[in-house]
Amino acid sequence: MKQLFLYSSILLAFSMVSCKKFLNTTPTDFLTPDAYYDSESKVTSALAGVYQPLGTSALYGDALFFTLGTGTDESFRAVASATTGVWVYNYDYTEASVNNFWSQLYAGIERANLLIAHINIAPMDDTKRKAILGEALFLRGYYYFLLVTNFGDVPLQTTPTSSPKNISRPRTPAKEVYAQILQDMETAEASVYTSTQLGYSSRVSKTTIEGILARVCLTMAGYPLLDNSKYADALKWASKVKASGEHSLITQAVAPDGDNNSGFSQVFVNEMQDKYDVRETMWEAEEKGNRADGYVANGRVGNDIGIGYTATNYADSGYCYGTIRVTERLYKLYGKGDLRKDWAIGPFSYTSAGARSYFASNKIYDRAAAKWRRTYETLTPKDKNYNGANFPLLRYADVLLMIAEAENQVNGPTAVAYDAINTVRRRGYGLPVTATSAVADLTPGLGKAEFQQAIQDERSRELCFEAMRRADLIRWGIFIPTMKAVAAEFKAYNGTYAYGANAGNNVSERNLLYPIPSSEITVNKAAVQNPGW
Amino acid sequence: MNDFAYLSTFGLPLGNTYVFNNNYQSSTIPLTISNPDLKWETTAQLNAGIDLSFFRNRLSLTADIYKKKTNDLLLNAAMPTSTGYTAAYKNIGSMQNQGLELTINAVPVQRKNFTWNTSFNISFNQSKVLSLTEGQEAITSAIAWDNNWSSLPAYISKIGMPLGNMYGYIWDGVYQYSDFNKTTNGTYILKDNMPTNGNTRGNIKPGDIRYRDLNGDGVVNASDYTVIGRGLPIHTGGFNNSFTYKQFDLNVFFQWSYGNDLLNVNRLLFEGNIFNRTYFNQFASYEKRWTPTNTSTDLYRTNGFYGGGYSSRTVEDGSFLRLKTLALGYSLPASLLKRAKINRLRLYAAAQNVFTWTKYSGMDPEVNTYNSVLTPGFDYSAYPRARTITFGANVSF
Repeated sequence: MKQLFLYSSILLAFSMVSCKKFLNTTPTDFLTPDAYYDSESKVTSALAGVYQPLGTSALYGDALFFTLGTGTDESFRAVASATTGVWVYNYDYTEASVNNFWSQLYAGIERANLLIAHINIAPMDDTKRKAILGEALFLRGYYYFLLVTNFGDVPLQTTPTSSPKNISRPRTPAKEVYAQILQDMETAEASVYTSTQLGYSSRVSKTTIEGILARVCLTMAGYPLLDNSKYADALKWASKVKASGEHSLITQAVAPDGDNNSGFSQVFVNEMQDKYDVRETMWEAEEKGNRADGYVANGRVGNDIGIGYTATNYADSGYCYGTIRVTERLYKLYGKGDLRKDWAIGPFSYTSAGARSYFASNKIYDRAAAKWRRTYETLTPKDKNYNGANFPLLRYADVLLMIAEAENQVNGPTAVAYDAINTVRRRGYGLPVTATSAVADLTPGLGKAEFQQAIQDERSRELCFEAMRRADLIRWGIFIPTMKAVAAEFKAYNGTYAYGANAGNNVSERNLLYPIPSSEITVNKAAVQNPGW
Repeated sequence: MNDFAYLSTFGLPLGNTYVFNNNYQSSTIPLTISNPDLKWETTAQLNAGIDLSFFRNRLSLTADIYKKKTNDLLLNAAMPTSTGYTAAYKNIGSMQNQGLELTINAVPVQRKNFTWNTSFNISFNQSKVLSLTEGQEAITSAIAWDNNWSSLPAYISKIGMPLGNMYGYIWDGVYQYSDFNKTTNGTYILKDNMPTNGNTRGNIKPGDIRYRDLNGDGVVNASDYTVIGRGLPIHTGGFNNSFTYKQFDLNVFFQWSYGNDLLNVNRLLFEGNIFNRTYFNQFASYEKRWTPTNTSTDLYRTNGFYGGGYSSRTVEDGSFLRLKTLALGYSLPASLLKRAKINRLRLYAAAQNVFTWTKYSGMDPEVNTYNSVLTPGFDYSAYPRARTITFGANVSF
């Protein structure tokens, strides 16, 4: 009996050695961070995750050219009953589009931080690794650039969020955020592929980074930092893009028709057809498909901005709400013979039967923002609201205009500045871009301030509706007076569209920044709200 | 919550696919953040009870007192979105519930032809937040009934106070003409000593909604939030009586709740149309809204709403007493039934939710559209409670 007891206790002792082996502490249905980032394909997937916010409806898939981008001196939303919302600057810090914008940007930053922290795990080619690291650094910088220009001081974080405990996050001064942006982008510039090596515009190239660095520097030179020394840096970066020889303007329509009749319109036709031309369209928010294949990597360019088409047979032409209309101010900016006018601004509307009805010359506010036209989409069937059209984030035309602006600020309206702006103008008129033209060229001999005014107008003619105008007006320090002047123009017009003055009437000092959104400020006790919100 | 909630997780959701070079490229994104300190919540409970009965069980009384302490309360708590995450599982603190439950059963009358049974119960509960992690004074909870309101705090749970209090602005009626200076061109400019309602000063017009500026800085914003309602009741209970008289039986059941408020969000939409929707019908009370000819009212003008918080305007007393059940039955005399070989036949009529005494203006004071211990008493687009009337017969052979 004693022996039996002894044996059984020994047996019992052995069987209790390791409980741990039987309890599975590794999950089997999802990935943990250390099991991740360990191969080239996984790292590439992680990089796609960093890019992905760009194409969402919170950014360039919808909001930045629609809800958030419409209230400028170029466009307004032609819905009389829409008296609240960001379009008319009547909203508060709970606004969904501002909340989504903020949280998508920070989601992208967290994904970039995770990828940067784990970049050295995977065994892979070092050039590829450097390029991916560079892209992640650049995108982190780009997302912070969108944050700092729209929200001012923002919490700055360059390592992954390690625990849910630390929720008091004070806002970092904008100056420090900009310093981080420059550091990230400059490091990235030295390590990514060239545009020619890539051959497509969904990933950023060396010249794209240079172009965006020029944009960042121009912004720093303007309101609110007013760091004049940055004009020279902007000029340096933009000139590098030109010097690379990789970029030029598209000068001809591929298959010209009555509407698509110039290199300018071809830029946007390419986007509707999901075609690349990296000579000019250097970087795009990439979309694909028509939702028939189960994927949802789509945007709404052409659908909620475009020429209204609400006839029932939209499967062929593509459905479009067409509520984003242009201002008289933009319409009148274009000179005689400028081919960009009738492409950027729709000269006709569609009847309920789907036929074209051209506007009388005095009908201005009826005209829609028409750069992206769904009739050119090639993928069928067309979904009612979503398509695979890309959205431009950097075009060479913008780079040329940045050269002109920075050169004028540093050296005055020199030949370099004139050449840059005239190249853009000549293309717009459908003329050879290198030959001087009495029709297209800017009046020679302008003073510095006049030349700057010419740049401001030219940016509207060339880049209207491309989600840049509000930021431009703010950095030039003319956002509020410009919006007030536009409101006065709507009032003077005094017709059906007098309500277009709402945006300008409502604008005040506080609209130079968005409010820190409710999803942040109600939880983050260390954050202080922007003035006036 | 799953067993691995303490680990961070990654996924490749189809909806987050990006596109490289015109090919779909699945993207890896972090889904949840790790929390190595996460632990299960624990509770400690103390109960004391007493059962008494008198007069051969004709009167009995049960009393229970309890005190329950929950430590390491688990919550999928909101995160500042600047972390890259919207929420994370956390142990947020500890709380305490204590209370008294009292039940009385009695048979006041028990005769051959007439009986009366009655029972009465009442329970008092007090909840209290004892501590919160990370040095927080309070946690707020938002309700996602609408996109723009989805991150706006509707409830607050503060240390030393009950859970689930309503949170927002104190409503101060509307701005009247006298609050403005009239300029020479006929526009009205808000007087400098008048606080705003969150909107820009220049945009505020007579008839706009007004909130109280608690900190006196001239601007109404999130720092003027305060507790505007009590989510949990002081006491609830029921009172049941059943009578039999000869062949008749009658059951009357009352139920009540006392001391809780309700957040009537329907009124934001149907008594003020805050989203300015077209063809959107309004409650009859909307006729009383402010207009230039009807200024002695406290309901703002058309388009006169400005949000940025819930307000006490839509917090209402949710106390009620409800006649929950009323049932009358009649059993046919056995002598009649014998011939039809029926053992028993009872005819009855019963009604549920017969009548409610309440000050609440909504359909149903028992409403709770987004029920949780932190967010009680929210009324948004709830199904109304049906008043049911049943007629029937119970037959046994």
